[in-house]
Amino acid sequence: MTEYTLERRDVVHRILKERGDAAVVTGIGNASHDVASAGDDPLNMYLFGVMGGAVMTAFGIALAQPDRRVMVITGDGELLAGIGSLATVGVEKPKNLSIVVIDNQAYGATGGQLTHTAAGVDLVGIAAASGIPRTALIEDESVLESAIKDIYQGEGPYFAVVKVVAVAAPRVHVPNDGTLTARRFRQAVSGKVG
Amino acid sequence: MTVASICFGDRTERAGSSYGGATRKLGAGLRPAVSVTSYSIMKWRPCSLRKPLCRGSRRQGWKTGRLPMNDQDWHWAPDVHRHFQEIGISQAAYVPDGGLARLIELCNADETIRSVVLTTEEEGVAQIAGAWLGGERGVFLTQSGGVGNCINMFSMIAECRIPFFAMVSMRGQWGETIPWQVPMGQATVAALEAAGVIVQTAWDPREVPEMVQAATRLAFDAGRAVAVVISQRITGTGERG
Amino acid sequence: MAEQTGWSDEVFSILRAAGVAQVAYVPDAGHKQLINRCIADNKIKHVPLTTEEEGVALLGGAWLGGERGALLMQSSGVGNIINMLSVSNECRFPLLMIVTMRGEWGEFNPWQLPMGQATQTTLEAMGVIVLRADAPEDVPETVAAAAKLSFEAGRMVAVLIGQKVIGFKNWDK
Repeated sequence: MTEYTLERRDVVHRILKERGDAAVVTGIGNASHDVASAGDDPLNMYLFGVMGGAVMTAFGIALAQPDRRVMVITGDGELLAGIGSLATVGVEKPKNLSIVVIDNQAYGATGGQLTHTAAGVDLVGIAAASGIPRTALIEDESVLESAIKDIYQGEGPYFAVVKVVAVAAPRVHVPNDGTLTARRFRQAVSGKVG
Repeated sequence: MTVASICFGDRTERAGSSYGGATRKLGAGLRPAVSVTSYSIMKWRPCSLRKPLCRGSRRQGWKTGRLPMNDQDWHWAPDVHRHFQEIGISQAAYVPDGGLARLIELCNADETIRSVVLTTEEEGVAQIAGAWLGGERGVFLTQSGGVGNCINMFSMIAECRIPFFAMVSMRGQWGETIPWQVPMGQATVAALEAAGVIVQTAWDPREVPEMVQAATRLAFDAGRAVAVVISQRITGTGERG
Repeated sequence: MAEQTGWSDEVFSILRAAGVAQVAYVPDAGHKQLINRCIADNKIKHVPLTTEEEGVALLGGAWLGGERGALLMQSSGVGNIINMLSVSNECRFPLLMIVTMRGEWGEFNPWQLPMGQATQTTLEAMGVIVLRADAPEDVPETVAAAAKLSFEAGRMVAVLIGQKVIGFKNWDK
């Protein structure tokens, strides 16, 4: 199996450094911790509890807020549990949606069991075959650097898999009160209260 | 398999266990869960209070009728796995889960069981139904949240009256720390029953092996959909996935 | 067919009046007319799904983005959303679902029975308020009530349109 060198925390922090006013939806698991560790933000919606919903949640936001870049940061296991959503997004082609998958090829939250990507499932291939026009496989730092502008600019949807080392990063506190995070997010992106 | 080995597991681990003697002293109606001589020299497996007499074990005296719950060596999974082997389970389908991890590992290591990792639990219901349709027996292993991904797929089980056996580890029930787990945790049993599955819940680890035996009979011999629910009190998975 | 599907046009007007901007669906015969109206209207973003679970997540996103939405599905699809409802429940997202029922009145397909009979129980087990309409003339009023309950009182609500409303469907047509 290929040895990857990128570390998930560094990758996510690097990506988020350029976020501007982009909204971020995180998939359950490590991705939530990666994003929260870069600093909590009302424009972060941390999902918990259920696998497979991150892409569609972000898509709903993107439809509602077409002038704002909406980004999903999730893991390979979470994405696979809702893999059909790539087909839905591939057909609808929301211009302001970017999907970034931090692929450590394991289920972090349940003990590190290998996921399907470790066995060779190609998520970039699935995304491209689903009709997503811009895709990237990122395995090293130079490719990551040149991909940053694609994440935030240009017409979406954009889909990238970043292969990272399968090493657990320290867990941080992630706000998990869904009522609070949902409402502050909505106020931040739409101005609506209640 | 003798009753003694059900109670005490692998005989090579048993060094100076005592059980039968204490029972004879108390009478058949009352039994201690276990009797021990010395914790340090002995590995034993606790017997359910409902098990028949264990014969052929030497009595050394007993301290309390309670199982020491901190015996880190005993786990319900090996007994359950052994039962799977006895009844010819040859397929297992699962999404990785902390609560059932030990059982999953045993199935994975077992060459007679084809273990399949799913992307989502609904796939597993279909697979295990297919196992029976193909003449084999399978087990579906899931966390309670995953049950909510399967309710429509259970229609097939109900409609075709496919004998079906599942084990479910609970979240959102006892000592849960992640609020998002509570809605589905609280709805799991109702959802299963609405989908036509007979639910049996274990709150004490000692109950689990026997309950699985009873459940697989109901499933494969009496032709029903049955789920053994392992409560969160047993798995203690309150914080991680 | 008019009296059996006239409610579709009224329901469409109600959804528009309530400010629904996103409509998600898995294609369903019972909802065909309503879906077509949504597709034809350029003020509604309509999203065909690969599975109903996506719609629950999508509408959570819609609300997070400040918009209102509705999920149209058949009763069998309800069985695909139960776990995803955890998110709507936990975040207290308003959620409006309109469900055409199968497996109840005059059902010819046995495979529809299990989920048809389990629809209400499983929705309620996840905290969804369930309203029913069993006559065509009741459907618009029930949807209007559900929309208020959902968007203004902030709840998860499902309107079950009874199979009797669709009538004995001739699937050969």
